[in-house]
Amino acid sequence: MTRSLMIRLALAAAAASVAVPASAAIEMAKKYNCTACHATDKKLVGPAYKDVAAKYKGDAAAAAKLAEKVKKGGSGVWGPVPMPPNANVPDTDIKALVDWILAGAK
Amino acid sequence: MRRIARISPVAWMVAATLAAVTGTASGQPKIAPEEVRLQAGSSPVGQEEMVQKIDPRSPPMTKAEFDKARQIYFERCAGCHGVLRKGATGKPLTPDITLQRGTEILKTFIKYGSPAGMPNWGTSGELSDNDVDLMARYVQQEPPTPPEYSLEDMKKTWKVIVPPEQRPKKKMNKLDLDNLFSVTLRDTGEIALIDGASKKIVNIVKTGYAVHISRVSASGRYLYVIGRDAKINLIDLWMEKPDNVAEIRVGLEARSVETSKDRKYADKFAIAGSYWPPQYVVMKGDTLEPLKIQATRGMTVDTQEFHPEPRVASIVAMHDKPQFIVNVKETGKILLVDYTDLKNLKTTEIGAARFLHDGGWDASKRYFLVAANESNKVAVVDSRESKLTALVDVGRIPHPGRGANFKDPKYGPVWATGHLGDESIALIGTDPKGHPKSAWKVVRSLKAQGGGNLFIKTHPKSTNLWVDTPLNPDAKIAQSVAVFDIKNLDKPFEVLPIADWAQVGEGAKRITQPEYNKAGDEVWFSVWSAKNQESAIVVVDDRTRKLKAVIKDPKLITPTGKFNVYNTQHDVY
Repeated sequence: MTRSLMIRLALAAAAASVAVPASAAIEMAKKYNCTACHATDKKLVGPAYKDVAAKYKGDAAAAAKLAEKVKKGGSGVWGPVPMPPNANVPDTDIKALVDWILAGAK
Repeated sequence: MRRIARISPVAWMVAATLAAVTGTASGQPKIAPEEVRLQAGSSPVGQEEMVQKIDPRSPPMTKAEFDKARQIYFERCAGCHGVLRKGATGKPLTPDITLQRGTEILKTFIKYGSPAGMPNWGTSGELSDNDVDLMARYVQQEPPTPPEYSLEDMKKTWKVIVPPEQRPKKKMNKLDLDNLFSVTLRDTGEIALIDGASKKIVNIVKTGYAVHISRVSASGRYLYVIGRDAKINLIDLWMEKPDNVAEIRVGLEARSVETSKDRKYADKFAIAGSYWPPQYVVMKGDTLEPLKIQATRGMTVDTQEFHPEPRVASIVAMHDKPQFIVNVKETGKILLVDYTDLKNLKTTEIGAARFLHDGGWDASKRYFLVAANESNKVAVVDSRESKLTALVDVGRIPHPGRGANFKDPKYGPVWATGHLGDESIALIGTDPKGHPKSAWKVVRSLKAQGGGNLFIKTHPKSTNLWVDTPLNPDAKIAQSVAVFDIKNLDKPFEVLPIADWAQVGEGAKRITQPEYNKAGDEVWFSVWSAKNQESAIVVVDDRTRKLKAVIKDPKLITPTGKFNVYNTQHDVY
């Protein structure tokens, strides 16, 4: 729990436009099971984060759209395998994760 | 803990520590579909009543749902993920991990599969959406524990059909026993004894289900077979019509049986290793009376963590020492069990590598080579010195059967294995005295038809190396064999369309397990189709590589493993 608190503090400290430290984002991706299906540079069950970043490059609305998808789940964009909903993940964490992914998930 | 009568009310409180599980899917080696096909067969353990712990955090299930899911689990999942779900070929699925994942993520994996090797049970049509949901909830429950199997349990199943004193004093038939074949009829729970010269069925003997191997006692008189359901049959080949003289069940699921081969102990003892419970048992050789059971539960060789389910894979007897070599899969340990004094049992434990599977002797019978198949290694044990000689890196998921020994024109004596996960054949030098530079190294890697290989075979009198590929997804490859010329290993292999030669009807017609006759001049192949379809055995002339005979019979249902008595008795391969 301490670790998650630290992440929250790190997030709170970060201004909206400033990315979360990569190590914190990776920790979150693990904590919320994202890495069960996703990796940065290769397709697992779900698409690679770098492919997601490439697809939405320059799309100003992407962050909001993806946050919605993470929260409510979806399917069809990357094939038939659905993304399960993640209603239990706090919005601030989703936003941090989406920003990290759109920045290339490095 | 209690028997599963009702699931819901009485909760077995488990310390609700929220373990931070951070296992990732990335960086895991991919499991070949061929390997999944090998492991994902049904486990007979699922038919037993089990002890079930309740975890209050698990999603609710009714008793009926739980029982259905448990049945599906043991039919489709246990082979890879283990009875206790500690993982082997598949990932661990204990609740500390699965609860963290949650139902929705688990459903996605079960329905769609994963690139790491999990089959797509939903989209392949094998499980309905309801079943997928059921299984996702089931794997978040504590794994039910199957019962143990004690000496008393074994004795309850033990039958001496013909006591030793009532058996023939000499061979009562005119069979050429040396050239008799014991052929597994996988799905009927039988073996066929086939005469090597006439190719006629001598007898069909009732056995356990899907006999995994046949072994022949040191004298050549007794044949031991073990089914996947851990039932052992002892067949006396001296009877007028060779048949069962004793039987026993040594557990709930098993793969291996062997007999004492040391001259002073000829026919004295038998040993069997089981998958569940994880243990081996030494029995009297002529009656199968169980004498001594040893558990294999213990620490893994690398991380030294306790493993509750280390299955006994293969067992091989030394010919010049009163010892059995017992290979334990999940802990990666090779046990040299001295059977001279069962009361004061001496065992040498050799740490090798995880997921030991099958193996065989080198030509000198001093060194035993065994595949550690998920580690992609072959372990070499020096039976004279009782120690590990080498761990050799080979291809993806080696599956040698007993392997093949021959002389490489350039590198001298080698032992070879094929692989489930790739098309390569690894030739390992086995002559440290004559060819020290080649010893315990892959001196040559041949490329055969493809992955999905189970057995490769040659014979001291042959210059052919036969390679089957029954688990290859391409039907054309699964229905044919590749043959290399040992004298000219750079030459491309020849492909023989064995399934076409058999001229049987529709079916998978997978070609498996080349086996030589005693003379080493013919090779027998199983043409393996489903239970309701025609199968056959195709006999090929070893010198000309031409069809010699096709053995067909309505009783020859799902033939798989074939064991020539002489070659099995003397470990000729």
